[in-house]
Amino acid sequence: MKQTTRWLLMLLLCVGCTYVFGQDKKTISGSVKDSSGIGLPGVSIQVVGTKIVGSTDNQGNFQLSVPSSATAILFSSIGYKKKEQEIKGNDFLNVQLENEKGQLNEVVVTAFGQKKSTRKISYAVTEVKGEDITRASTPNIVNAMQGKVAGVMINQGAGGPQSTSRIRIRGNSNVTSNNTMPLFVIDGVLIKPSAPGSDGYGNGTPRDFGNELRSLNPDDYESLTVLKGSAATALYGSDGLNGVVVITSKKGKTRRGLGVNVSQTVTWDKAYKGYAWQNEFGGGINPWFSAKDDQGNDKLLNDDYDPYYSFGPKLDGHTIRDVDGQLRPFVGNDIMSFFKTGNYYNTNVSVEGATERSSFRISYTNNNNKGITPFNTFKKDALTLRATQKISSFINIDAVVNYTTTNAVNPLFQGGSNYNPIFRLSYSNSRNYPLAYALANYLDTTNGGVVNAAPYLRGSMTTVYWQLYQNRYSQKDDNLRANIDINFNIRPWLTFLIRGNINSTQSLNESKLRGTGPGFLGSSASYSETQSNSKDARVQALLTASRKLSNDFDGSLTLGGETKRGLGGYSNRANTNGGFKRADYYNIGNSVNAPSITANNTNVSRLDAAYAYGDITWRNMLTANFSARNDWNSTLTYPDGRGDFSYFYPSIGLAWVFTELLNSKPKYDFISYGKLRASFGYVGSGPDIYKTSTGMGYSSSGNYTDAFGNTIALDGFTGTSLGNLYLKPQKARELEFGAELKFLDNRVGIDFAWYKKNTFNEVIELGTPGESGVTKSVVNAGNIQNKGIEILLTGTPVRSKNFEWNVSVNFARNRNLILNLDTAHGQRTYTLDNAFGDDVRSVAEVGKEFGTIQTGYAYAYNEDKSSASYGKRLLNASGLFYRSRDINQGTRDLGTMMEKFTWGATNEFRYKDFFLFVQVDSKIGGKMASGTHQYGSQYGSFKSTLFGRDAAHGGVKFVDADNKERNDGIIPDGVFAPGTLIDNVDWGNKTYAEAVAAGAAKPLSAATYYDGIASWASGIREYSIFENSWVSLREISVGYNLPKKLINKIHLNNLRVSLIGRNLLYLYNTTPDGINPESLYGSKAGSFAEYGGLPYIRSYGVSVNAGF
Amino acid sequence: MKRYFLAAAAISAICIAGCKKSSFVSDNTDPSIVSSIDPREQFTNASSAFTSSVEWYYDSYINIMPWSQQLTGTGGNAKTFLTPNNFNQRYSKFFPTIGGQLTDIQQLVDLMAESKRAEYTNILAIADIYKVYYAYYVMDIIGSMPYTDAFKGRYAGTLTPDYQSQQELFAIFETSLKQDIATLKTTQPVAQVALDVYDQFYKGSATAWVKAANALRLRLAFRLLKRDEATAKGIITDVLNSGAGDLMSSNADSWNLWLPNSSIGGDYDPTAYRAPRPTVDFMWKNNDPRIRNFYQKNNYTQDNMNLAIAAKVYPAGTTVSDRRYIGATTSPDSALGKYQSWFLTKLVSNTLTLDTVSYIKYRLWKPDYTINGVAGTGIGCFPLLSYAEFCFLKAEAILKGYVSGSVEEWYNAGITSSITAYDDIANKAKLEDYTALGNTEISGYLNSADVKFNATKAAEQLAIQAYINFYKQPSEAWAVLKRTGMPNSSTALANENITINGTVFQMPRRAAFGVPLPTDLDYATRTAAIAQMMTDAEYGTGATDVFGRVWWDKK
Repeated sequence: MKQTTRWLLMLLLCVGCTYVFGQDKKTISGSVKDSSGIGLPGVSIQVVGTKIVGSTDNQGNFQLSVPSSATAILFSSIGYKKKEQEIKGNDFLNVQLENEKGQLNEVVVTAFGQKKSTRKISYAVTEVKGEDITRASTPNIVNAMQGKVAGVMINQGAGGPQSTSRIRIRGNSNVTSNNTMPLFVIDGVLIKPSAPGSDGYGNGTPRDFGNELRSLNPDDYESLTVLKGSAATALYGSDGLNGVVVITSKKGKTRRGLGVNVSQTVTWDKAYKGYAWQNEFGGGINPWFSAKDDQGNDKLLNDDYDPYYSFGPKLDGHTIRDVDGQLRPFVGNDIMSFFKTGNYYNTNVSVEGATERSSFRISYTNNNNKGITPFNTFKKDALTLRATQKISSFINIDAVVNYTTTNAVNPLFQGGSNYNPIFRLSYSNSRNYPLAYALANYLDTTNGGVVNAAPYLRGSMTTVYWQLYQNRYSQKDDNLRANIDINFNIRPWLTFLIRGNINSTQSLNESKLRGTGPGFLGSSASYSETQSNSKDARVQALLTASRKLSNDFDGSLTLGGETKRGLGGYSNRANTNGGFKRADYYNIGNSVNAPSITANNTNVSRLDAAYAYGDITWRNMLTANFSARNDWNSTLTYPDGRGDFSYFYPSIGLAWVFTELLNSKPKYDFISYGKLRASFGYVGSGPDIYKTSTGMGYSSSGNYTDAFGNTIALDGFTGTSLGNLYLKPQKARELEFGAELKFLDNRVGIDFAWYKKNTFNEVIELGTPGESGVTKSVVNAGNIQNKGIEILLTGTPVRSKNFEWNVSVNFARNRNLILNLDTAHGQRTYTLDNAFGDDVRSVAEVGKEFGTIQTGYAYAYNEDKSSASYGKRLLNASGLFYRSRDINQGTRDLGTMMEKFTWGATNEFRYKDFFLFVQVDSKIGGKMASGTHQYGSQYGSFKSTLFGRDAAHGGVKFVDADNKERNDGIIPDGVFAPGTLIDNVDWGNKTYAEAVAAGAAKPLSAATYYDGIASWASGIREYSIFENSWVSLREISVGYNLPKKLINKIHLNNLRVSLIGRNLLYLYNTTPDGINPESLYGSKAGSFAEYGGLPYIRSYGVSVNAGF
Repeated sequence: MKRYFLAAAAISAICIAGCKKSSFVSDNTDPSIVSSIDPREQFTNASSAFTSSVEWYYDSYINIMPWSQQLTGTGGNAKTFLTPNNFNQRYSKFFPTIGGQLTDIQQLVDLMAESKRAEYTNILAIADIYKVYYAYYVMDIIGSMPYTDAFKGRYAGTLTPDYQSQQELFAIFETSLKQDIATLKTTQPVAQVALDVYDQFYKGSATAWVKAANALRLRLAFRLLKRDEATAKGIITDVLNSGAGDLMSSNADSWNLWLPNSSIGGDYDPTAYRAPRPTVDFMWKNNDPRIRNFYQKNNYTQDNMNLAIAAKVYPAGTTVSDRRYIGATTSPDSALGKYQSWFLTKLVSNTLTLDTVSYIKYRLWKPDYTINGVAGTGIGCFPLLSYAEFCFLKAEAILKGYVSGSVEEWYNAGITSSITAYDDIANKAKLEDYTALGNTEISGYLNSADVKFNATKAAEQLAIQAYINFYKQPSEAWAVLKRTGMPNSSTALANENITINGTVFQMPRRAAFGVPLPTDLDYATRTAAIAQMMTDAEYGTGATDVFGRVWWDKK
């Protein structure tokens, strides 16, 4: 607290001082903008006839002391026509510079929110305009970026509109954090998104309430810049290791009077496609009914098979006595009717205004989403105020305050839990499971509670229904972000910026579980609430000098520093115990037993930094950039005061606009702009908070109450890791080359980047033999490499007054290799994530790609090259496939979860006042695992299991052990493992078909075959691990700007109506049995598996945008 | 010029304010970490961790118990049941957790002031006895393992301790236990810190620990018997010739861990397992009173039968049998063959399904098990070494002629002790239909056909009774089968020959020893250990051959 006070005092002091200077001299101030009204930074200013020079600041503002005799000021900037503006007694000048013909003068937002001319930038940077984000009409800003930026890979969340989407830029830079999300910087506020999600056991957060990005509000954003490489992100230090997304809020625009803008968007989310469930065969494992009831109806038995497996008789609709004794038509079920149409309502009202000296914009957004599963909602209210004010000719203030509240209710269960409806239906529920009957009867309306009658109301979907309809899980967040920039124009060429910001989140997480016992009571009734908050603050100071150094050189230099504080917070949880005294009253006081209460403080951290950066440009053509930053990081200190907590990292870059040399050479006229760039940078970072304390001392393990009621307060080891007393900072190094070329009057463009990034000295816990008393040791190790290319092609095939067509295609290929972990100490593998419990893992293994999928439950093969059956899958005596690890073939690599490449293409057409936008994007390569596919196959739920069911589906006729003739035989394609004895004859290396022919084996019934290949006990996990490539028709939208003449009559400035369609369909998709490609159960870096998720959802809707 | 100065001053002020290291250090100090703790806490940590639901599920329910025919799966044993599934959980519980905690007690004492250290002499001896017990429990099924140099990684010791052979370890364990017993029997010069409630087994009683350590020496010596009879005999006679006060003499001396109701959740779930036919038949035939605590009756009551008749599932007039303890066949071929129909259930109504084969008694394993909507409130017993076992071992020692005495007397004492112990366990577990032991039940059983002592069949009878007694100690039941080869298909309790697809299979006899990768840190030490064990042909075809034998388990 003391520290904060000190900062505030200092800030006030600075403000005060500058007021004093304000009395100094008469000055001229103003702003310089481009033709579209955007402020131009770094414009050279010279008082005509004097040597007085200056330049504009980041927002294009300037102030200058001039002698009273001065008459005019000359403004010049690369790529713009020079302009001499007469003073004529004004003390404020509004200047607009026009483009020089054929010149490219893009300005983009880069690190620390600086606006920079792209000519001077030596690394890849991609900007997405705010309108491209809002047009997508999705509550998740990350999803709106999908396919638009080369090298940015996005996996949509699959638990409802609030879910977290994984965003990955240029691969994974490290292995331990299991979080590959980039840093988001919103008006100077740093947000490091978390990566919630379940693991292969369903632990973690199988209910995803969304990460910190849920509170972002696209309506407020002017632009979004993606910084990918180390040279681009170096100034953000460790936080920028995974890339940075810099978001700038909209500012009030200069205009007459107030501008009011209202937009309303409504979209509907429709589940349009489910998984490929088969509806040809119903309950049982034999293709006949084994019993009849007294009336002679075919009857399904309540045994271990009929209610669960779907290898039974044909679903022909005739009336049967079902396993629960009811008469029903024998038909397949349809879960798609269970999913309702979801929707997205977004209303935004903004009011803006600006004068020469001030501007403001107030915006309010109400966003209301309904998911497609029961009671899944996500609501957001966001209020943003951005105001700028020139307090005196020396001081500009720019402040943004955003207050957002969100409420997410009932996210869908993900991961290895049985509460996901898709997973649960596929797993161990026969296709004739009477979904509607169970839904109508699971609730005991007479006595209260759940109905658990056997068999159809016993667990399975009943529990799912109960979870979805009777229980409520919610999370409410209040997020306040505020930033103030105070800019001092000390000299025309010298500015000083003080920036202070705070990000504070208050969160309330509740779960209300209704009692499943009679009277809605019982021990299952529970209520819990978790309240938590967290606060981060950052204060930054930047002193920037920028001027023309000579006729040939101009340059800028910034010195600065910051302190970033994780101010911590608390997390308090209270929950009822032993059920409720009174049903349906969700409060802690309603607990039967004493409620449990836990309270924790969250960790604090501090990072101070000093930096210097700048550039120097020669003849508008060649720019050299550099940056140097030193950090002092609390996480590298040890509690005993040791620790080298200071580290330094530099970057350099070169940008060469070589077309400047070709200006006077007509034969190169086809090239309108060409730039080559190169950059090289380092980024350092510290370990996690308290990592230096790993393995040190003891901590409380709570109270142990023994069998006889003695309570013993216990402490124990803090873990089984061996600490490290000499941790060093992690370091990333990146080399990048690129080219930007524009042809034919900028109508065709190409932006190419090649990069190689290596991360070293990651703080990683690597395995040690448990016999030593520790299972892991903390080391600085590793060399993780990402190498790749990114290509962006832009073109304007047609450009005329009435019709324009712009096309943009991006392509990215990244190879993410693990070059080293700690091979010196024998460490080669690090597990990233798992699926099917721990049966399948995604790992980082030396020499292999990040996310290599390994399992000991792969097929086993005949590995004897001399054998005639070399390469065939191995079978055991029962005809089941061997799992590789069960026959000493260990674990197998099944490829990587990382995609080979991604591409996206957007087409924008404008015809008069009509606009059409079409986007297709694609991911090719990369494996995923599917739990639904595996267990659904075991129980015969999917179409892929139709093979072999009867003669028509390729089944073989045979006589089974009960002497019954059947035609659902399958002959497994494999050979018996060496030494396999059947009736004491060695069938090793012979095919199953040969054994069948010789009468030594019988074909397997379809049920036996699929149960063998996909059950928990004997299944081959490889069977459900497959390539996940897709091409998605992501977006089609049509817009129409109503004619001015018409709308002016109703006092509108503009009125635009758009129709939007999102996630329309997959043009190509490699997943089997209709598994949803976007259904990963987590957003962690290593997540690669599906356990249900949602069906395919498309959204379509309408948006109206009116300006007054 | 003033402006430059002020700006520079502001920047330097930020730096100066920002660069004091102590505030960084305090930010990064985890307030939840303490530097030292009471050593006794580590003893409680280690003892309450003796077993876990994960160990119970994998090692007992789905591996050892089916192998040793103590239970079967719902539909009998699957054809794959001899393939170990995540077996040997105890290894990773000992390395590093339990062994590490017990080793740390010594470290914590060593860091104390010299004057204080002497007060912990007894605690260190007790901790060592438990450490030997657990080390043995691990070694019993794995063979070679590190011990002397193990657990030292935390204290700047090696991360790759050397492996020691079973032969070496048997000697080390015997020496340690003897030393610990001597220590505990000595009156210490300074008053000893009491373990009291920190000791989940004996509340810190030195005499109880002496008895337990002697009983453990006895068990170890019997394991050693097949390999080194001379040494084993020496230890057995040494133990059994100790003073009466140093040996177990009643169930009160048994080495048990009692776990609270709340600690026995999750994977202790016993619902999927059937009673085994061989043992059920033997117990039923001889009126073993433990049968009602071990297994559930099936639901073929006459009332249920009447409902079934009303629902036309059974013809009118069908009556039920008195015998409602029906075991599952243990051989996969018969479960899928001639006994398959036993596993088929009959649906009577939405709330009633008739099921022939008995399940194991749920609350014996999981006292909090919910029956008819009511959660159990009992506590759970996990025996480490019971007085009954001591009796059976003493009887066997007499039978072998190592010590004098009456085999019959100790055989009967063992049975009596076992029955009363299970009665106590059932009572404390609060079985839903707990019935106290009747006055004549024990004597009736002792005089039943297959149980009444028969000197010509003494070895078989001892093996059978030990096997039944070890129902709650599956590892020991498995060890009886390995050590004596009984009960088998030709003993009075007739375990089945396991046939799968017509081929007779032996049960697995040990855990797989993990084969290291060349890149593993402990590649050299593990490879050497494998090579050493492989010198014995009986070890099997390789490190992972579970049908091979560890050193003590000689053919």
